[in-house]
Amino acid sequence: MGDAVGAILLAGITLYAVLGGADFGGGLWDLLAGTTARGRAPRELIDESITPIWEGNHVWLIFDLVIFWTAFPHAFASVMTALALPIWLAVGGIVLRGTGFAFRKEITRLSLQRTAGAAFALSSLLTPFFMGTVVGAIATGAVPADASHASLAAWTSPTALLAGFVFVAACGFLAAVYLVVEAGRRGDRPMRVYFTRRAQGAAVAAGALSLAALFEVQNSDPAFFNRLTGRALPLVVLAGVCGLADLALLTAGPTKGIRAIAALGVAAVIWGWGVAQYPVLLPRTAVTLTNAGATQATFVALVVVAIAAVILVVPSFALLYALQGRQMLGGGEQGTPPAAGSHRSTGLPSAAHAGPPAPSHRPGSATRGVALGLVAIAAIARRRSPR
Amino acid sequence: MHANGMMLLAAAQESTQDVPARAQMATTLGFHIILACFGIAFPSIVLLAEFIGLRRGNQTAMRLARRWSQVMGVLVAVGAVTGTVLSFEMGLLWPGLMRQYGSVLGVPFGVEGLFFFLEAIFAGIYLWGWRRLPGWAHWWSGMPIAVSGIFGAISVIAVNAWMNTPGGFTEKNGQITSVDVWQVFFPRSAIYEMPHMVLAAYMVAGFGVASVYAVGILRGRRDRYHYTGFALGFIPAAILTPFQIFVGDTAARAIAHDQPVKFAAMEYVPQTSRQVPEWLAGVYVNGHVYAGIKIPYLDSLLVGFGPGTKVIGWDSVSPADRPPVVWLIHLSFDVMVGLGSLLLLVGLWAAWTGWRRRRWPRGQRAGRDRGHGVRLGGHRGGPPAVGGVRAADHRPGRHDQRRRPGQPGHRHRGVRGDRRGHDRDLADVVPPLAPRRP
Repeated sequence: MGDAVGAILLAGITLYAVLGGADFGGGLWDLLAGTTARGRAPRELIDESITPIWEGNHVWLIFDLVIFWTAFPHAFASVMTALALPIWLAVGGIVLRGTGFAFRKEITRLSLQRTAGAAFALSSLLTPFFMGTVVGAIATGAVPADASHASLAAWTSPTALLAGFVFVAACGFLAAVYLVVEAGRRGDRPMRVYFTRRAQGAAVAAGALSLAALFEVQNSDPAFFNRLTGRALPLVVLAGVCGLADLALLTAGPTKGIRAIAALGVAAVIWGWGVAQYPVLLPRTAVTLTNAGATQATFVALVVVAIAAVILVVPSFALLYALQGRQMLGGGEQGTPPAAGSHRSTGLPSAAHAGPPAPSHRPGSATRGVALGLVAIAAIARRRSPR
Repeated sequence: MHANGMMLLAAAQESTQDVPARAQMATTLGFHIILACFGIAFPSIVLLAEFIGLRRGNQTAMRLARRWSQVMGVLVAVGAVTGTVLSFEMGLLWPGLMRQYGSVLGVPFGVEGLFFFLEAIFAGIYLWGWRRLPGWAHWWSGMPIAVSGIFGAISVIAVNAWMNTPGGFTEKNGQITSVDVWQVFFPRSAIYEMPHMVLAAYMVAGFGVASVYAVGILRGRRDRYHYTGFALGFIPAAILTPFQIFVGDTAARAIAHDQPVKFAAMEYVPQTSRQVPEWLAGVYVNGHVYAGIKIPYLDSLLVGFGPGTKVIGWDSVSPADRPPVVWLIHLSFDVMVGLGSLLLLVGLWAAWTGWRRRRWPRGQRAGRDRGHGVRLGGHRGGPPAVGGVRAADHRPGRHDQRRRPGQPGHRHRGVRGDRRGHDRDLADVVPPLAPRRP
């Protein structure tokens, strides 16, 4: 049962990395987009792609935290104690990022908008870096089983720092690849070229940093290296192949499938890490998936929660991404009534724009079930062909 | 049960920096709880406005819903961020507690995560779907936000209730050996804590929204937009307030039984005794209450419906276990009860004037323009026209789709041709939360 929950946790981390990581990467490209005038087009694309979905993606982090402390409380307490500093810094980044992003929409003055944008962009760089150092510190066995104080050495080892840089590069890679596809779907050729170049750069950087980390691990932690190149070898190879395949596809031109390959590559890295240290939770200690402080009943409850999550959350996410992919969400400023600028507007707000006008006015029956409404949304989403 | 409580206390005291950690947790939580209230209840209010907008073709309600959903977007996002911070702080500030009891109190958090997912996903659809989703589909896409807000609140409060009345687990030699998930999720105090929180969220969001428009109305913007905005927040909150006071009263009595020392701090009961007085406000220093109003016997009356009821004081435990700053606890409690009672009075006042005069209570300056108050309903017994219409202007069935007297089921559908009539009402609107116009 502990193994099952461990797999759920690793799946949660993978999803956070693949979905949330791309949002961080978007912030990274926002940071590197240059001056206000020059960076307008990429920033707009990043903004429109991330805005409706970042919060849903962000919840994976909370989900992972909760699973971690519920299923493996001893390991959780040790990690939180020993690595308090990078975790606090990552939390600070999350706060700046979320508030900066949320308020950037509502602020109208350019200077304040720039400040909020800078907060969003800079923290998009810092948060994945510090999270990477945390993962690196755990993987290298720098967290003792019953940590009682914070440790600086634990997360400033070369491996941990390299892991931080790998995280940043991987986030940038994921985001750039997603944005290439997004730009392609919008028929925005300059942006497609723009992000193709960045995706290639990030792929090379992530690959080089990963290799450097691998060599560093070989020197500093031969046991872990042996497991990485032993039973986890297929996954390590898969990650490398995915990276090279994406690089080749990006150079050749076709964008079909590059998102899935990029996500698969990142997932392979994370599962490689998990497989390499299984069943140990904190390497170089006796803390494993089964003896980290939880009971059987807790494991069962978590598995039930995870099943419920699959049943409820997966279709909801599918709906969100489907609507986002078909550009049913956003398309201009968020929910701003047309009357905000001029009070002469006469139509109902929803009628003033591209939405199908007829059904929005007909008073529907209030007794319609929630399910019916959602089916309606899905049906409409399906009917509208992507542009 | 008490033994469990003691162990919990011991686990929490492992850290040597209690006071800074507590202060930080309290700051984050104090910030988060206000946002959380809006996260729980505000979607329902926005949906109510949109419902009225769709069902009755009420353009003002529709504009309010749209404006509010912008605000909701910011509040939900910032609430999600502070919630994340709190999740991290559980481990960063209280590793001792989490190491020992993480597997117990984590279960309700896991359930909460589920609802948080639904809330965040559908917030993405609802907030960004105004443009292109058709009306009712859009409305239904907001429904999961409102529902999961309530259930998410219940799950988090389950943790707090468990911390107040811990149970549902067995512990041997400092190890948790078994967990009864059901009992962890619904401890004894859950029955009053859960409704107390959800109702509080609706009061905060409802009165909070109403206050924005109340300020506008008092500044002379007596238009349909402001009265509608006020009513949509005020009416649900005012209806729920009496229920909240009943729940709160029940909760206080239960605390007197379950956590008598905490109750003693809330009500200034130093010694266990009968005929205990009730203190309103006041600061307790060295055995004296300064600047407080003393009402004899009332505390005993409230706890046990008789002046002879024995109330347990904080002398029942050793000085080390007594609450450190009783005046802070007492004053916080008094502020909460005082504000709740004032809000009850405001609601009763509005109900009285609405019933007697068919309009909202007026501010002092309202005397000048008699007849411009807003009617609550066209005829007695009819459904109240939420977001009412100026008495002078109101023509049933023309501007909106109100049911006409004598035709209870009838809905007038021909509103589209007559929409121009609203412009007059909206001409002087300066939306309070709108970004400044260029």
